[in-house]
Formats: sequence, C-alpha cells, structure tokens
Amino acid sequence: MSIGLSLPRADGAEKLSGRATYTADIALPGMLHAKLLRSSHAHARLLRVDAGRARTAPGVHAVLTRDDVPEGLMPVYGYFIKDQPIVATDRVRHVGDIIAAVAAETEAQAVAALALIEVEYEALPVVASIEAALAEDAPELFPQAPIGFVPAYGEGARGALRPAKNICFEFGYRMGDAAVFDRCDHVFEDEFRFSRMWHFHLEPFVSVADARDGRIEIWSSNQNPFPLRKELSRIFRMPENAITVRVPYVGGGFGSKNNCKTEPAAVLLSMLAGRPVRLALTLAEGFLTNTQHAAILRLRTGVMSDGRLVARQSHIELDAGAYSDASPLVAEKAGYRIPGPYAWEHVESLCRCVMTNTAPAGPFRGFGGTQATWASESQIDMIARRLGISPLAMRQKNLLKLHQAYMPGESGVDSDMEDGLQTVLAAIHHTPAPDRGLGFAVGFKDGGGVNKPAQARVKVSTNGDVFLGCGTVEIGQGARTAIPQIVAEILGTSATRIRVAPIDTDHTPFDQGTNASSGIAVMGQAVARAATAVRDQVLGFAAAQMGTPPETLRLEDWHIIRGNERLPLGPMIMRYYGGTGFEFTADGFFKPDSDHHAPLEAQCVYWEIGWAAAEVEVDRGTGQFTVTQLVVAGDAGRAINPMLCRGQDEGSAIMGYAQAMFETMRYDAAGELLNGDPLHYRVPLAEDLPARFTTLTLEQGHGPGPFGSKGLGEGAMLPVAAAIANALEDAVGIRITELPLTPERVLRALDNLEKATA
Amino acid sequence: MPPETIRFTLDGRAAAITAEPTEPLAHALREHCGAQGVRVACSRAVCGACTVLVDGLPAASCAMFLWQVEGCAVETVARLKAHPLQEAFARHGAFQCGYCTGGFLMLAKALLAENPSPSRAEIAEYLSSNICRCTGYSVIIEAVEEAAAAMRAPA
Amino acid sequence: MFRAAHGLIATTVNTAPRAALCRACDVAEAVAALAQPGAAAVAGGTDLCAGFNAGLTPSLLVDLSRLEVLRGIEITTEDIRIGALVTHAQGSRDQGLRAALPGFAAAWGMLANPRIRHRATIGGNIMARHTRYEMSLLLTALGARLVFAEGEQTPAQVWNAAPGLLTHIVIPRHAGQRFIYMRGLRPQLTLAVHRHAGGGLAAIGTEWLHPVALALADAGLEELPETFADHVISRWYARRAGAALLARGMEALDAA
Repeated sequence: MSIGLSLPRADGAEKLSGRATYTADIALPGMLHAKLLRSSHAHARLLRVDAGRARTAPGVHAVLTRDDVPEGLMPVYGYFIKDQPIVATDRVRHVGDIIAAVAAETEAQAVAALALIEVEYEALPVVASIEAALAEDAPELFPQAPIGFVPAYGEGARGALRPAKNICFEFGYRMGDAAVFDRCDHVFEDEFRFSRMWHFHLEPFVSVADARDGRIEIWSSNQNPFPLRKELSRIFRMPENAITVRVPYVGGGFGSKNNCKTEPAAVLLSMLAGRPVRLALTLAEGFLTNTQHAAILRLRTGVMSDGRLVARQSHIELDAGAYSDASPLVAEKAGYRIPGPYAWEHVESLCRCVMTNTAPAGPFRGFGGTQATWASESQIDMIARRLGISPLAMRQKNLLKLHQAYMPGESGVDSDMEDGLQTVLAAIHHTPAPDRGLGFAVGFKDGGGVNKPAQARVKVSTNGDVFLGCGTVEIGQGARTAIPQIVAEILGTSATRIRVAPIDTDHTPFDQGTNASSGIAVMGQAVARAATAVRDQVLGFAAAQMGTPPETLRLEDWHIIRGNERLPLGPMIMRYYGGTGFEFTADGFFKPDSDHHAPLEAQCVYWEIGWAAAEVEVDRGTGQFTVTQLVVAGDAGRAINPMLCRGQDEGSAIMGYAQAMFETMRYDAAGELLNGDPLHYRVPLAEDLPARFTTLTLEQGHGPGPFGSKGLGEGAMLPVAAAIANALEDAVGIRITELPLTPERVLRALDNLEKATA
Repeated sequence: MPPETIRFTLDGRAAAITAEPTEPLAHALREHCGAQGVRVACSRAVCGACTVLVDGLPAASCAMFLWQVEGCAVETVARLKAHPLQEAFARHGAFQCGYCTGGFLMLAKALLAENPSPSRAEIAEYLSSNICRCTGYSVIIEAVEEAAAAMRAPA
Repeated sequence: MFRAAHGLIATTVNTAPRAALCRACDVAEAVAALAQPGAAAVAGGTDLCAGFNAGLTPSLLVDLSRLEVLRGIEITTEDIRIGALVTHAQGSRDQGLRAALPGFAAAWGMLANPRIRHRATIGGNIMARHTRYEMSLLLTALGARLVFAEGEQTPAQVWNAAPGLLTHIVIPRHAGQRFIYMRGLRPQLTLAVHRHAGGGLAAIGTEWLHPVALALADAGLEELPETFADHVISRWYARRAGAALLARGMEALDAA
C-alpha cells in the first residue's frame, strides 16, 4: 500500500547531497556563455543599435541584435498573442527589454562586449500603470496588431483581441438576467487593488542550447517542455522532431517558467556561434522577465437584506506589462473565478489585460484566482458587516453546496465549502481582546487547467522493475514521489521500485505542462490508466499461462496471487518470452471531454479550494499588526502523500501571507522598478512566520483524481490576504482594499476612521 | 600580477586553485572543484543558497573571493554523509525544489555547532539567514529541532 | 544591475574584469594602496562582491585582513574604540562592550543575519554607504566619530565624502548612558534612542534614506526634514510612527 503514506521524497538522495542536476549544472564541450544588454528606458524607439565593436571583442563568438535575426524566422513569441521579440526590433517597451545578446568564451568577455554596443534611444511617453495606460492621451504601445488568436469559448463566455487601446485581450462572462439587480435590497460597489509580486524562484532562468546541424537540443529550467518545443518549432521554422527539450530538476518556478524565457535567445546564439551556449540570467534579471499581475477590481454586488447574494458584476483590469505572455489566460481565469464559490442568479464579468511599460506579467501561483479571491472575499465580508450579518452566517447562506454546479454547464463543486470553513475556525483558538480580531476567507479556483490532455507510459521489466514516463516536471512539488505512489498502488508494488524517466521530449509522453495544480488530478489520471493497463496486461498474461480467468488473480510484489497461491512472475515471463526477458508496457491518456455547454469549453476537472482563518493584533501607535495565528486548509480529496500535501499548502499559504503583509514590486511613474533586486525585494524569512501557523490537509474524498484525489499547491495561497484584511476590520474596524496591508495604510485607515466617527 | 595559487581544504581534502583575484569562491568551487551542491542564486549574499562553512562558520560563497579562504577549511554539503540533518530533512520534507537545500543544511550545521540546543525561536532567527521559497520554513525548523535532539542523544 | 552607457547589464562578481590584489601588511601600505585609482578595500568582502552587481570594476583589491591593529575593542572611561575590522558577531558578543553599553551591543547583534555577522565588519557596514545597513544610524544616535587614517569624520559626512582607510569607530561615553534600537518596523522605519545624564540623541532611518538625528525633546518629530519620505513610506507616516517609537524608546530607557 502506497496511497496515504508520507513516503520520503524520491529526490531526497540527490537533493540532500547536493548532487541533483539542475540546468545550470549542464556543461557541454565548447560551451559558450551568454549575457544580455537590456533597455534602460521604459519606452523608447530604437534609433540605432550598433554592435560593430562588440563583434570583434576578445572571446566573442556571436552577437545577436535585431540585425542578426536570420531571414525567415518568426522571432516573436507569446501564448495567445505573438508580441514578444527575441531581441527588440523597432522599440523597447519596458526597463529590461532585451536589446542584444553576446555569446563568448566567458561571462566576463560577454559583458565586456555588451558594453561596447551602442544604442541610441528616442524616449517615448511612458505608461507604467493601468490608469496611465488607459488615459485618453496615453501612447499606443503596439501601434500594429501582433498575430493573436482567441480560444474557443462555450456558453456565456467570450474573448476579444485588442478591444481598445493598450488592451491586448478581454474576457467576458455572462450568466442570468441583469434585471435581477432591480429586485435587490442593496447594491454595493467596491474597488480593490491587488499588488504585484515576483516569483523569486531561487534557480534563476537558465537554458543551455546546442543548435547545430539543423537540430536544436536544449536543456532548460522550464515547466512546459512540450509547448516550448512547439513554440521553438514555430519561431525557428523547424519540425518538432528536430527539437529535443530536456528538463533536469527545476529550482522553483511558481508559474514563471512556462513558455519561452531564456530559450529563444540561447538557441539563436548557438545557431549564430555554431557552439553550444549557456544563457543563465541572474536572479535580479528575473524581476525584468516575468511577474504576477497587479490588478484593479471593481465589484458591484446585489444582495437581499437577509444576506442572500443575487447578482455580481465585475470589472477587472490586469496590468499585463509590456508583453502579453499568459495574460489572456490569466484574464480568463480572473474573470471566470471572480463570483467566488457562491450561488448567484446573475453574473457578469469583464476582465481586460492592460499593456503597460513594466515587466511582462504572466502565470503566477493562483493565476487570476488570487486577484479574484482578494476582491471577492473582502467584499463578502464588507457586505456582511454592512448588513449587520456575521461574516460566517453570510457565507453559510450562500456557499455552493457539494456537487452544486458552479455555473450553468459547469461541473459541480467537489469540496464541502462549509465543512472546510468550520474546520479552520475550529482550529484557530481565538479569544477576543481589544485591537485583536479574527478573519477568514474561502479561496476558490478551477483546478487542473482547461481542456488539458496528458499522457503517460508505464513499463515493467521481467523482474518487476517499473519505469514511469510522464512529463510532469519535478519543480519542487514532489511529482516524482507522489505520482509513483499511484503507480505502486495499482501495481501492488513498492514506490521505491519505480524509476521516473528524465524528461526528454523525444521519449517522454506528451504533457501540456506542469501548471494549474494538474500533476495529480490530470497527469495522475493518465498515469493511473497506464498503470492499470499494464496491470491488466500482466494479469491477462498470467491468466493465459495459468489457464484461469484473470478476475481470479491479483498482483502483489511482482507475484501473482490466486487464493493462497503466490507465484513469482519472473520465471513465468521468461518461460514464455525467453530468457532474455520482456517489458510490459502501456500508455495512459486523460483529457476532460470538450463540452460547448461549459463556459470554458470543457468542464473544470476539479475545484481547488483553500480556507484560511487569521487572527491579528494591531498596534495603534505605528499601524503595525501581527498575525498571531494563521490556520490554512486545503482539500486533497485523498492525500496521496500527506507530507507533500502539507508542503504544498504551507508554501502556498506563506506566499499569500507575504503578499498580505509586505511583499510587493514597486514601480515609479517612469516605469523604473525600485526594489528589483534580492536585497530590497522582501520575501518571507523563517522569522516572519506567524507565531502560530497551522496547515490542515482535508481529505473530503470527492476528487476526480486517482483514489479520490485532487490537486493542491495554489489553493492555500488564495484566501490568506483577504482573511487577514477581514481580521483587521474585526480587530479595529478599518477596511483596507489595497495590498499589501502596510503599517502606513493601517495607520491612515485608523485616522480616517477616527475622523469619520468624531 | 600573475594569478595566485590558493590552497585550502575542501570537504577534508587538500585543494589548490590558480585563479584571478576576482574569482568568487562559489564559482571556483563549482567550476574547478566540481562542488555542484553549491548553488548560486542571488549573487548578492542575500539568499544563502551558496552557503558553505569556512572554518566552521557559515558564509555566502557567492560574495567571497577565493583568496579569502587561503589556508581555511571549506565545507560544502558534499561533506555531509548520512548526517542527522539530512535524515531529518528527508523525514520532514524540509526541501522541495532543492535549490536552497545545500545552503540550509550547512547553515543548520553551523547553528548546531554553535548552539546544540537551540529553541524554536533561535532556530528561526538563525535560519532567517537564508531564503527558501518553497516550503514556508516550518518543516525546516522542525527538521532542525529533530536533528538537534538526535545529535544530543547519547550514541 | 549595472546601468551601462547604453543599457542595463546583469554584471556579477563572475563577470568582473581582472584586478590586482594587494595584501596590505600595515596601515601605511593599505592607505597607499587605497589611494590608487580603482582601488577597493576588502574587509569581509560581503558588500564589495555585491557591488560588482551594480557594475563596480575595481582594478586593485586591497585586503585589509592582516591589519591586526584594526581589530579589537578598547574601552576607557572616556570612550569606546572599535576597530574597523571587528565583525558583527565579535562586536555584539564582546563582554566589555556588553557591560559598557549593553543596548548598543544588543542592537549590533541584530544587524544583518547570523550568516553575514560572522564575516561582515563594522567598518564595511559603514563604508558600504548603504542606507539599508544600519550601523550608521546607530552611530548617529551615539554621536560617534569615525577615525580614518586621513582624519576624523562624522557618520553623516561619510555618505558624501570618500576618505581612505577607516581604522576605528569612537563612541564617547557619558554618565548614565543608555541605548535602545527599535527595528520592529524594519525595513520601513527604524529608530535608535541614546540617553545619558547630559542629554542624548535619537536617530531615525529607512531602508532608502540617510539616517537623521533627532532631538530627544522633539516628541512629535517636528524637525524631521521635509524630504524625509521614500517610495515605501511618507513623511507623515515617518513622523507618526517615529513619534510612537521615540516615546516607547524613552519609556523603555526610563524603565531600564
């Protein structure tokens, strides 16, 4: 039995000895080192890029500027909208935009050469915020429309490219009749602001590319090798079978390592140099590469006097930064998730991606759900208090019940929302005191991606040694530990007998990516099917050999069990297949059914829920407050490995906690990032933990994944900031609608409250 | 000035590297000595992924010059063999992506050498030298507590 | 990130051009070496290495570690003399200092983190001229003098000028001297209070602003400069929270 055991991580031997191989550890013969020249302007026309002197600098083998991109390439990339160039062409759109790259024998030589490149900028007006980009007189960041497409949507949902100036994409969703607002006793309109974090994955972006002889081999710190292969194929106009992507261990991503980052420039430099090239960014360059989405969220919510929620209109603007990256997908999720886990008669959401002269925003743990939960769970609390209803009663009245459909055509929620809420409330030992308060929130998102397929392969040798091929990247979540536990359970063997093959797109079965908390609930299903198919093959083989129906047989430790009989499989296999042995092998595939009635074209695989309760104490002198207790719960459905579940929830919750308390990127109006370095950008440390911090892994048992499992990893982050803001109001009566909840904001709110009540 | 040869011990073995005065310790250990467990992340002595012990004290090897360890004993995570800290980290799941892990293990080793019976608060304070973005730290603190107890216990 | 003439480059200590190394054996040799163009002093080296990320390219590294005269803490009835090479760990644990000025020893022990404290020196903390590093703020409140081989300076002067070799830090002693450092709001705002029989001084600082001395009597921080604001906190907040910290510091020192 493997399921439910906190088996130690399978990557422990490598990671605890320091021997684990990450991309930066890959060294190829003749490998060159690349560095980048980035824009110092937030928005400028590039009048001149002259790399003449760099080309002859010592040690230089390749220089890449706009003049060096070979004819016939498609040197722009992006998820839905191909708007990001490998190197800037006519203009730069954010501080840090890539202008040139050099590959040289050493990094020092590459840097020396970069310093010789002359760039003449003509500064253009800068729009560094959502408001600035939407102003009437704002400059148009993309005067010409980049290539883009809108995914297919089902009932009630729609998407559009470039609906207005500086908006690259908008997502809309509508359900029910807006006339119900007229029947509401109250309609509340509130605006919320969501801050912007950087992922701060400790392993910086890095790729090693060898692009010679019409082939590309690339090792990269990447979360979705197959979509990356497809994008490289499109950019470089090469067949996908001429491209091999390998992904060693990845040192954290939290969303940032999806799609192209360092890869296209590394490949192009390697092509130009005729040598392998390592492009390793510094951690600080990560701030300029991909970030979370800041957001402004306006909610208009209609309710009855008894607290029943009726209708919600939402208008969300995401700061997409300079290039679209995954912004359209994030917009889709924020727009779809903003109603939260409540029953409504009418919902109308609009979410727009606003282009600004800041770093490109993309996938970040929570993926639109964090933004949506912050606003939604804050407003639910605010409305409860305005109506004189307890925030708990308000939620109890409106929470979706288990199996109740989220929206028409959508799947039913697969967690008991109220049970989770009661669980965290029971675990927090709150005793009221002056300036102390309790808050809670329910985080909510669809999990497992949209319409996401996954494939896996399980092979078993003559002696019962198991190989698992699956494209889920080990990025820290424990995929190489938990997924084998599923296989072990099905094959009746020990998880330690399962070898997970390294990821190599030539051999690994297809997967869309390690994202959307999909490892267990999506890939896990493909793996379970492959393992089941192998088991059935083996039992079928044994049944034929034994002349008995397979239903009478069981597999255990590579023995066939029939009643009290226990027959070793090895000799049986060799008798039939010959002494040189055999491998049983089977593929598994999973994809949710396409369904045009579902708003996002397929029903959600599962619902990822996080519950949080927080207790705060406020210092009225400084506005500083401490979170004295934080209790967070996620629903694993069935915990495949409870230790790993806790790890996912805890890490996720602390990211949400940091966002609530202090962690944020700070831009000025000129588009300069003011704290974009590891010293000034504050991430949580061990001493920042709440005095009492508890995570609970619920196993409500309703998940669609193997053995009733669901995904984890994002849910616990979602409710934390709103729970803390709600606790602040409970403690001292203030409401802060903007993150982070800085002492200055608290002190101002306390002052304003005093003035208002004076 | 010709490059100097710097002599020190690395994980108990004699080492001699000839390098420029600006050669950072982390780079020298990784590129010349194969010390793969020394991870470079922030390049600024902030995150501690590159933490090694120099004469028993923790140091960010990304922010030291190689010549500063002349004659010193340098220890990396490769020095640890079935160490109680490694075992406790494994039991508690005190690592995820693993990029910070070598640094945390060496940091914790220095803590326990300095203070064999640290309180939870002392552990948290000491471990606040380094950054782990994955775990949320509780499990690392628990692992260090457990390793401390194991190391105090009579053999 | 290095702001080069034509754009940003992510330099690191790894990308540094070649430099020479001078292992100074005495103060005179160090002073002479540091007087050369492109020279950079290496004490712990922690901040210097970080400087490469901002594009620092010294051509001469001057190793100070052999200057034994820059180590050690001497305490007399007049003052406390701290050698520039004393590390945070050594200084904060120094028995004499803990007896003479326990509040300062405790504050010193809070700087940076345990990993840095073993290597980073008091001199490096000051000479880094980094508003996030806190020693300058502590010394401002203490009315300390910085002794360079070339002459004396105040902590405030060092932000602008670049003298050569810092050898000692001198903290004057006073009857009834007490010190407390409040850094609970860090990195946004910290405040040190220094009281003695003849008066005292407070100092306030942020992650981004040079520390400012405050009269202990200025309970409302009326005299806080109009420019005391950064992109994290406003002057309004600095005054309000600073006043609360000052009152608490005074109270704590009264109780002590």
